[in-house]
Amino acid sequence: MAEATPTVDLLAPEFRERLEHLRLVAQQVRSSGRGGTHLTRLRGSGLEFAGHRPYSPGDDLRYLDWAALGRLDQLVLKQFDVQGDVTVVLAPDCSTSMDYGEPSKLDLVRQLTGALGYLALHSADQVALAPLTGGAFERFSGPAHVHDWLDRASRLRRNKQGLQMRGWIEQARSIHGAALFIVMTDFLQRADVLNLFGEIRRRNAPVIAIYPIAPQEFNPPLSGRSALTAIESGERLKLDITPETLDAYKRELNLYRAAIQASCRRIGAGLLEIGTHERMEDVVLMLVAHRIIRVGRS
Amino acid sequence: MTFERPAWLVLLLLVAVYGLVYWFARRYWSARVTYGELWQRVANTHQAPRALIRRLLTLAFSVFMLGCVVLALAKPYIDEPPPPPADIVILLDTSVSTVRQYQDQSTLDALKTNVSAIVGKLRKGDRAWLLYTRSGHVVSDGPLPVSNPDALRERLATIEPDFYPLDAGRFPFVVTELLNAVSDGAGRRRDIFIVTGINTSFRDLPWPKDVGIHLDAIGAQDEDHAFTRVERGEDRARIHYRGLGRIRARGVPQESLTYPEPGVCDLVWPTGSNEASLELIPFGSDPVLSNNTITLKRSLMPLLEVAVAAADPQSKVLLNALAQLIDGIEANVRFIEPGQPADTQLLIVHGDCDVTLGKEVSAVIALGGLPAELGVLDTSRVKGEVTGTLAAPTWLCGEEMRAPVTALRVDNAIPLADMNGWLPLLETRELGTLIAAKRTPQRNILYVASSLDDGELATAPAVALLVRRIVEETASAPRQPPPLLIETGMPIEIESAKPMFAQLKAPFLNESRTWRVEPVNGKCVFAETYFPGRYRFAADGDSNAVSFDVFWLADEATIPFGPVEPLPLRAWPLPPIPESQWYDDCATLLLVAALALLTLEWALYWFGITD
Repeated sequence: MAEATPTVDLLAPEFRERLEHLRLVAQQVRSSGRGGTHLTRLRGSGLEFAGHRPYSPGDDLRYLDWAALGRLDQLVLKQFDVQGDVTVVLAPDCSTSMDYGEPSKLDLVRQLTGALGYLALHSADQVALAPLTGGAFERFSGPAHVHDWLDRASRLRRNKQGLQMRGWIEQARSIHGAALFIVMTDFLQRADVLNLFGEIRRRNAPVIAIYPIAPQEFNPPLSGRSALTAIESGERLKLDITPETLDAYKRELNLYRAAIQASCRRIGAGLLEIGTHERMEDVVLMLVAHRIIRVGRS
Repeated sequence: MTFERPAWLVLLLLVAVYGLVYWFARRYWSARVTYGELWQRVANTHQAPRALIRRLLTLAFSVFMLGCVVLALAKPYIDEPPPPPADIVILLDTSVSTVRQYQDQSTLDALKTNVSAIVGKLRKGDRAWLLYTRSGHVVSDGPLPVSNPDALRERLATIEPDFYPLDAGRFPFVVTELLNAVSDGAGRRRDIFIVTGINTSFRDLPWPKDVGIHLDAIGAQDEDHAFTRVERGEDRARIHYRGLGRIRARGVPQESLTYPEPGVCDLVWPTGSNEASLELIPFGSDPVLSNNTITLKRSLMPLLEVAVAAADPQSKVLLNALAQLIDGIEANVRFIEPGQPADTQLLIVHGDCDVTLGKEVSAVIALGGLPAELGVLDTSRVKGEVTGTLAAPTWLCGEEMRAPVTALRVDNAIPLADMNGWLPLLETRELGTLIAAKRTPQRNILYVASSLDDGELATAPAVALLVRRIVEETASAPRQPPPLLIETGMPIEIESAKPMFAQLKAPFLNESRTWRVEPVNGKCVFAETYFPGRYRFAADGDSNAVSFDVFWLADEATIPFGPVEPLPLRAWPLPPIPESQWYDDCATLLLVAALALLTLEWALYWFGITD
């Protein structure tokens, strides 16, 4: 079991300073009008046009820029920045399977939770820590609680109980106003997670899925006669590991990932795969590239 | 089935260890993974079925293969069953020709000795009859007291040469008597031994097929088919012969060879035996009755290489006889022509001839040639490193030799006053008239002067005795004899209600072995083979004799070991030696089986049946 990382190590001071120049960006977030400084992208008139982005399958056709289509013969989506009061719900998966890899997926989720919450609190938004493995949502608000947030994020630990979806959804329904859901999970309980995404989308809230994968999951360090124990279920399996079986496993993994991508696209949830070996700075750059984080203050 | 090298069977333990290591080394290694669902799908499509059976198959093949190799290394063979009791009839030649001298006795006495030897080799339960002629009539005597040598000797002593000739026309009657004397069999082996002093032809006689015929001819030698020279080697003997016929020998790879004229035959010492025999069978003769047999005993002493140089053909006659005597004491003798270099350990020079000494020469025996040269040892023409240091005695020696020295052809002669260092060899007078010899400190060279007044041949035994001394003095480490097997022969049964002990001693091995035998049905049975393996014979003898004592303890708890009633038991002849071919066949068969298993295992692996 991975021990909780102290606050000072979770996010280095230099990294935290850089985060202060960034802000979360979300699409289709409904503002509660409580005066937060978070820039949201809302559909509707009177909002500040933020720009275009290329259309990708699964996007809502209502946001297509038909004029641009006529001029450029390209499918692009219009995006708007709106100042509003948004609750950022960070939902880390702390199940047993996340404690795998070197570094582990849980380490990545712990740091990413801390970084995204830090970012949101600096934008004067509310942040709710909602672990998928159960427990009451913990709410934090404003830059004054940044230290408490980091301390709490650093104490995220593996939970053997597995995902507790029913209670989690009940608590999510109690969040009023605009909300951005960021779920960090390895999708090993794929059906439950996708069901959760559906529930979120039904309340018309954006959801972003961050999918951590360890290098050891891409290239398992196995050979010979092996007794495999599945971490997520505890089931045991005896298998002679050969290059052929490894290739077959990789093919199955790619199919699995493709199925997750298709499901997220169908639901309308954003999906970002992140390797656990990536540096946190690189992860932030990836988030910027995928327009989940935007550079600049409001 | 027994094994010639049972120690190799210990390797079977390693095979078992290999099996255990194989079984446990191929266990599963634990590993934690995610995406168990995906791994399960992979297993469903790639997991080999019946993994346990495949592993067992692979293990079984490997163990069987290694087991076959180990068994092959142990050289298995199947014991021959003990021969059934035999009834033998010995036909003793008492014809007039047996009065002639053979070595130091009459031929008839030698034949009687051979009869005793034949009877002495009989096993328990064998019976023997003796046939001979007296006053022209066939006399049948038997059964002989096979277990009482003294009584047998007394009975043989009454047999004298028969001066009434038994011509060839009456000889079939002898055969008829022989066959009448032999029992009908009834499960007993039947053999006829013909002990004769002549080369009699028996091949035209109606011998029954189920009777073994053995011919023991003394002094008979077919001049057309004769052994001319024997060389004994470390692992084989090389026999030179002349004649045209076939060879039947124990130790020769082929059962029968055709030998040209003249030829050489290598006789390999049979496994487990110190003896090898070879016989020449002239074409057209009956193989059963061949009398050109030579039996060689493997030398346990280092072989002595002897070169003999003779000045004239007459000298060669002497030296030929000498060579035969030397041959009896395990030496390789070869003649060299005068002027040739001598590269042997011992050089014997006779007469006035030039010889160059090689570095190997450690001893020289120089013999006088003619009576006129009596007392004169002329070594001035012996060349080599020692030239100039050779000396000739200038003395009148021996009471028998009173003739003055008439010639002295060596300048640096030794004065009579310096003769103290010469070896006293006068005790050899009864063998010849060898007079004196001397060893030089430089090369251990022995110089011998001899007188030849009793005839040249009479000198030969004395020289042979000298050669034996030289052999013993120049002996290095004795050669390693082949494995020795000693059997107690027939099982010994002793009625006893208590456990008994047996002790087998082999003095030449400096070993003894004691073991305990529990009574079964009131009897203790002793029958075993002892001392298998390789042993070095003691330097003071090469006898195979063993002693076998059986005893019991009055109170096992308080009385220490000790013989109570020694039961003498002579050493039986070496047991029948399994055919070498059988050894090779069995070992080859096992190796081929191992190879076949290996091939089959690879084939199964190749087709995915095993892993």
